[in-house]
Amino acid sequence: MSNVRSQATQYLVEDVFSKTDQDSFHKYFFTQHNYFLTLSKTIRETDADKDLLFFFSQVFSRKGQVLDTFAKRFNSISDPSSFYRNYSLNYDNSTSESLIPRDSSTLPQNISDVYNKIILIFSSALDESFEDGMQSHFSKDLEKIIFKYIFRSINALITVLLDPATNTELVSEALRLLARIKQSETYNIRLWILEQSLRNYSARIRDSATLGLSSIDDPKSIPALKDAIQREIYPELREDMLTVLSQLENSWKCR
Amino acid sequence: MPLILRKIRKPKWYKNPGVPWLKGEDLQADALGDLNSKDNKLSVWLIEDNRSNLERVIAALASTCDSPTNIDIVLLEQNVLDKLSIRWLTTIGDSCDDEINKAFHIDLIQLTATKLFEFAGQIQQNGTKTRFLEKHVVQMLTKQISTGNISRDKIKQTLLDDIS
Repeated sequence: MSNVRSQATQYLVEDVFSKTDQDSFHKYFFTQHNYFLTLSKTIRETDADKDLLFFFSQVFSRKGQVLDTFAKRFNSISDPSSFYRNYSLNYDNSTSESLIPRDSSTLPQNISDVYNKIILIFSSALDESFEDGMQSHFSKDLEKIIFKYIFRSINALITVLLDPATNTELVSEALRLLARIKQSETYNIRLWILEQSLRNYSARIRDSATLGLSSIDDPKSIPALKDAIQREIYPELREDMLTVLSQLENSWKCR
Repeated sequence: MPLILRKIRKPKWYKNPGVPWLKGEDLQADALGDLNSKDNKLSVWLIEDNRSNLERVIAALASTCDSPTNIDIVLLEQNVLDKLSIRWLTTIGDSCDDEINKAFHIDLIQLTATKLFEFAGQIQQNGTKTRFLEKHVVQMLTKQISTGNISRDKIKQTLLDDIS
């Protein structure tokens, strides 16, 4: 994790995500709008992590309809990573700004409701045991939410998955679920989440992301996996990634 | 030398630097979650020393799942049980392959916490951990179904829907 990313993430986790009351959290953030702009400028200047910038904009967007429209545009794009790199570069323009509303006096229930539901599912699953191939209460509940709220749930889920404080085992299970569900509207964004999770600080999460990509078996993920293999410091995991890469490359040849 | 097989989740058994805070040959606490005993017994499978039944046991493990998945396993030499003074008994497994259930399933019995921990230590130090990816597992399972070794009727519908 780059220094800027870890600093930015740490700040957010400690100072913003720690708000226990989600309404306070939203109101707090929107009064700190200038901070966010400064932070995003810092990230962009250091070229550290434009993807993180994208996530922040998703997290702090209040307007459900805008989120849905954005996510639908995002999902129709064949190469999401280049799209939101461009999006981040154009962040200062009015299109991007409109995703961060300045008026925080009213909170739409739809966004915080879905986020709260997901937080509750994660909290309830802390004592649950998981086994490969076996459906858990956690995965059943999360799957229901994803099918009910589609993009809003995925966007809320991204926030939870990105939070370093979230239990790594639950993040791993969520990633496996994202790979398994059959939902064409969110296919691209789910694939993207798995690819991004190859960069997670936790080897367990990187492994789950690798297994998720193996399960989806889409050769589009080959570049992301190759990058991950170059970065991977743990030999056993690197070996497993190489096996999945071989699978994806064979799938590519068969198409 | 015959081997014993236990289904695990590989990341729970990562050492340093996969888990940076682990020291030396320490085991993650979560690894013990792969050795959940019931009534002080632990279910394991016997694998022939030439591994001729390995694929069939993997398919049998997969046959009880709700959905297609990778299968991570660890293989240990069976004489580890003697070294650790762990008693075992031939019992019937609960997979969807009746023949495998009768021929290759044992329970490690009268387990103490100490023996279980030592068993975990043996897995960590001497176990061969292997991953079978989902695609490969589905191929193995489909083969056992088509040969009649696993009956479709015994497999959960959710799994059948995904592998058909």
